[in-house]
Amino acid sequence: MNREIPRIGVYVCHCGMNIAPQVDVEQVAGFAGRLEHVVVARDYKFMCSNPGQELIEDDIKAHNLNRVVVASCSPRMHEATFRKACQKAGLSPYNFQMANIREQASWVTADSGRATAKAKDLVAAAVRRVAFHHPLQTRQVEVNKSVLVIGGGIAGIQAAISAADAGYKVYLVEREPSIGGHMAKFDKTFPTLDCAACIMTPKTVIAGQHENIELLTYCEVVGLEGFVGNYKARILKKPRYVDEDKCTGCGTCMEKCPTRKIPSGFEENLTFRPAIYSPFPQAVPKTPVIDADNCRLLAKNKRCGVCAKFCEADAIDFNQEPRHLEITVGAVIVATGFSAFDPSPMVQYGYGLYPEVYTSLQFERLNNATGPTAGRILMKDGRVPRKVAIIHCVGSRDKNHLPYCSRVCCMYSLKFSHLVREKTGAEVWSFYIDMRSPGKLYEEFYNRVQAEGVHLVRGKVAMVTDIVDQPGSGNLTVVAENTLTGRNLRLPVDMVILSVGLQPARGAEEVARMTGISTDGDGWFTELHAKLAPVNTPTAGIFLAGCCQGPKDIPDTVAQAMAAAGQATALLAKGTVETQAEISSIDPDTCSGCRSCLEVCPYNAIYFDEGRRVAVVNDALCQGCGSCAATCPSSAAAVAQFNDRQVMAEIDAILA
Amino acid sequence: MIYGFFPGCAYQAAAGYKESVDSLCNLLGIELREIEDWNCCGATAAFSCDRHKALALTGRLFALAARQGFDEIVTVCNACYSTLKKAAKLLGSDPGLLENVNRSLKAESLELSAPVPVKHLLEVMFRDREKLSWPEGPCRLPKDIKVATYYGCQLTRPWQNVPRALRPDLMEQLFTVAGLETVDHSARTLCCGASHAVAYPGQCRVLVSRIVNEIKAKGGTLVATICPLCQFNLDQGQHGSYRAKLPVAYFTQVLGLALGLPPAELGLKKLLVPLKNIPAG
Amino acid sequence: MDASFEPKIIALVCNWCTYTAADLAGTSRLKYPANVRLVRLMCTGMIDVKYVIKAFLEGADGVFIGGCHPGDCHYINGNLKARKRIRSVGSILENFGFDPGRLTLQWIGASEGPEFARHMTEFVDTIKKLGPNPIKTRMIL
Ligand SMILES: Cc1cc2nc3c(=O)[nH]c(=O)nc-3n(C[C@H](O)[C@H](O)[C@H](O)COP(=O)(O)OP(=O)(O)OC[C@H]3O[C@@H](n4cnc5c(N)ncnc54)[C@H](O)[C@@H]3O)c2cc1C
Ligand code: FES
Repeated sequence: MNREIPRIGVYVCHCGMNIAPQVDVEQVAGFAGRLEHVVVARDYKFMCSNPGQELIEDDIKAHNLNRVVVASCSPRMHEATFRKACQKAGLSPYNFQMANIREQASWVTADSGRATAKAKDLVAAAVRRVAFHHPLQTRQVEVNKSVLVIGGGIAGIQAAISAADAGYKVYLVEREPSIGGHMAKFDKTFPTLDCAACIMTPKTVIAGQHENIELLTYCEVVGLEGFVGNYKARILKKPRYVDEDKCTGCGTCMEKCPTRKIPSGFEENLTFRPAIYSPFPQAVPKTPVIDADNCRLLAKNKRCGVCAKFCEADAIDFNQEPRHLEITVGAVIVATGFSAFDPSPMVQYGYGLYPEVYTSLQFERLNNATGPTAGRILMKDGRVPRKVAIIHCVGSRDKNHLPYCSRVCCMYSLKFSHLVREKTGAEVWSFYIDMRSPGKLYEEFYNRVQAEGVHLVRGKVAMVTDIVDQPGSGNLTVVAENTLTGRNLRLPVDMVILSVGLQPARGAEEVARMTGISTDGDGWFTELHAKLAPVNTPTAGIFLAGCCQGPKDIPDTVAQAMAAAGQATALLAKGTVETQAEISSIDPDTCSGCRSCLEVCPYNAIYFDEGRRVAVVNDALCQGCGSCAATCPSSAAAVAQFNDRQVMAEIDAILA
Repeated sequence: MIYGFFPGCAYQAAAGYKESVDSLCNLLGIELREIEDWNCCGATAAFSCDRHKALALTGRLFALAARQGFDEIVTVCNACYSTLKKAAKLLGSDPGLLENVNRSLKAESLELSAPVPVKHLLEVMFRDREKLSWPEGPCRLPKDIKVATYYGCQLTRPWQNVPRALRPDLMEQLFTVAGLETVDHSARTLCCGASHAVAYPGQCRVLVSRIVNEIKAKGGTLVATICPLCQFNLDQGQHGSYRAKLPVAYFTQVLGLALGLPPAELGLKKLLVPLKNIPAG
Repeated sequence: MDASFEPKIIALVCNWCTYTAADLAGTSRLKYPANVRLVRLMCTGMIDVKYVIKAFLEGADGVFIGGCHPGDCHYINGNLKARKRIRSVGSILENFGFDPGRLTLQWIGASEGPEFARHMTEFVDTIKKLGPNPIKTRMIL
């Protein structure tokens, strides 16, 4: 190891008014200047600005610096910036260390004197540590030129098309029999009232026919390992019992199937489907699936096979088994979307008790030309409702359920108001807490619906009951307070629509665990940075798109999907990635061959060299977690940039 | 089963509540051991006038119950229930309040370390239903009597302590043990306005008739209540109404009838709206 | 308890969860006592017991270890290995003359800024109650 004498430059950032004046930056710089091996120490308004970086570069050359410390914000923010600056001036980017005196001192300490003292300690720690840094080697490894997209809603479909158009192979995995997600259930979309099928079907068709997209519907990702550029995914292909290559999608099997009374999930249980089914007419792929839990032959072992008898293409195959596929990809886009809040626990709204109380998704089906009423808004007894209540924020903005705003419900409630007025002429009463319509053309849409004669009542509904105050006025009564007039209201209506909130998709936790994405308190996937890295995750090569990251409308979903595809394809286009430098190595001269490290390595990245009787790290697999280093009884294993000397130096300096 | 019993002030005079509770408990093998030297809980009135005195009243009850070795207090009245629960919550979470109460209790050399859990008789009977000695045999209530339960507004608000708090079914489930079926309706926890019966009788009538009409609309011919205030208010609140009146009884009376106890032992004669067609006895 | 006692606390935290939570506490401008010094590591799984012992021997009044919630570790299960290891150091600390309460391990997820600030405040309180590291006043070993 090169034992040069450290020559350290220290740069203390004011961060405008964010670090100074709470931390006395001049004092900190003065203090740093007196530390061992420090050659220059300065403070500057914005270290991350161009002049700030040039300051470092010039000093490196002028003072022949071989180590640099910047005391500013979090390394999660600007470590890369300063490492690059060092590199530009000919210094190894690893001979650099950051002291976080903003997030950890100026912003969180009430007392200025104590903030300054803390900043000094952090700078001293970084200076002592950086003296033990030395250049590290990295390698370029090839990136696999394909993308895995998990979830086939509009987010996943768009991301897949964008990446495929850029010329990369895409595997689009959807657990349902068809792609489409929630949008496939809608008839109209706010604020433009575009026909959902008209704008969505072309996309699903492209996704289904694109030469670069391999659709893996009725499939689930069950394992993911590897690292940026080289992920290996294990995919479970559930048996469809229909041969995708032979099936022509004629639909005869679905007509002939004798088991017909299975509540249709796609129709939100408003109607039934047969045991062999395709969720909706425009499904992609068209190939139906046999619901093994309800099929007479598969579930009940009865003699049936009617579908097989009528299938001219001979596509029915009752002997299909679950299969596992292994694919290798360079990047992963997670687009698992959301699930709608189930309002049954909110007994006060009567969902599940009173037949004329609907969830918003049920209403979408009721209003859909391909839905159970062919798009006519009708009550269960076939009558046209005369008075409809829409309740916003069901489950949302509620400490007992979803504490956050679900963002799309006000807008889709307005959409419903419009549709009910237009199609039935019924009176519409829409109950909101606050009307939230931020977005392009959203406020305008709100004004338009208002002008259409919808009663908008500001007030949370206390209950929906079938207690009828005046017989003949409606089968349900909505009890609420109009908080603008201060009056209580008992409103007789025929139909109630619950605008339920959005929550993470079922099984999102499992996806998060597999992909190493963290979730926020509500279960949504967290992006790397709320503002500046909205589609990235802390794991390189794994990106987010759509509602899995938080409730959003279709325009935002599509924008994010394109962004995620852009990030993924940028990675693939680059062709190689630099391997991580901060990985483990085992010193063969110190290793005693005890093999403790082999047991703790979560990546099987350590093998035992029987010849030399020492453990060896496979640097293509090692992720640098340091489990081996912490376990090694002879201190032979160490993670670069986190070795004992470096960590101990930091602790020493803090406690000096 | 032995329960530490807090009858509350309205119990003794309530239309057959005491009679029916006594005979039913006797039948099922429940011993209600009254908390000795109990006092009025103060109900909502005390809390709205003077919180310290209200807490002293309830604190005294907790202290007595604890000293007499009870680990829960069983009440038969929603107002007592709600008042005691509220006090228990305050005293259990604020040591300052507890200290104040103890200062007042000193005069009687009582001391309170922690409030005692509060339960309604319906809750404990439901909880312990498998340990009670249910008599064999079919339901003795005539088939044409359709029972509707009424829980009132204070049992579950704001406690949410029973499942499906806004549409509870504890009584329904307990009744099924005795082979008694009930009608489904939506007025189970609507407020009947009892505490406003004197000050705002007009408003109160609206609330009472809403409940009565709903139960009638759903086919109920007898209401089962769990609180003396609810029972009295629903019963007398129909006074002067032109329409056919709906008898309102206590759940213990209804259960007693279903289990074959003689009506005379259940104090049924005291109901204002008479319950007809019951087997003589 | 000496009211003027301001403990020095070393917090060994993982980059992916607890360090991120500390950043979030910062961006949210949550205030917590200035006694804590964070040492950023990639994962709690790389925390060698000797770092803990070293910190105490050098005079740290408390050592806080913060990592991802079980199941959330960026490296699958480093946090669980850390828990095992920290439990074992905890049990020998007493032999060295240190109150085991001076060492704590907590899971603080990336989005839990307020939790981070709360843990820091509580731990500083605990250490204030325990008083200065005895090594500053007594010879140990
Ligand atoms: C009632 C209602 C009305 C709405 N109306 C409008 C509107 O008019 N205009 C508008 O802009 N927005 C509207 N929205 C919002 C819109 O639905 C969303 O913006 C959009 O659907 C988000 O798309 P997505 O692909 O992110 O999620 P989703 O549509 O939820 O798609 C996710 C897909 O991933 C699949 N998936 C989930 N987990 C896995 C897994 N583990 N493995 C494989 N596949 C998985 C799911 O099966 C699903 O197909 C509405 C929302 C609701 C609830
Ligand atoms: S990465 Fe946080 S504990 Fe392992």
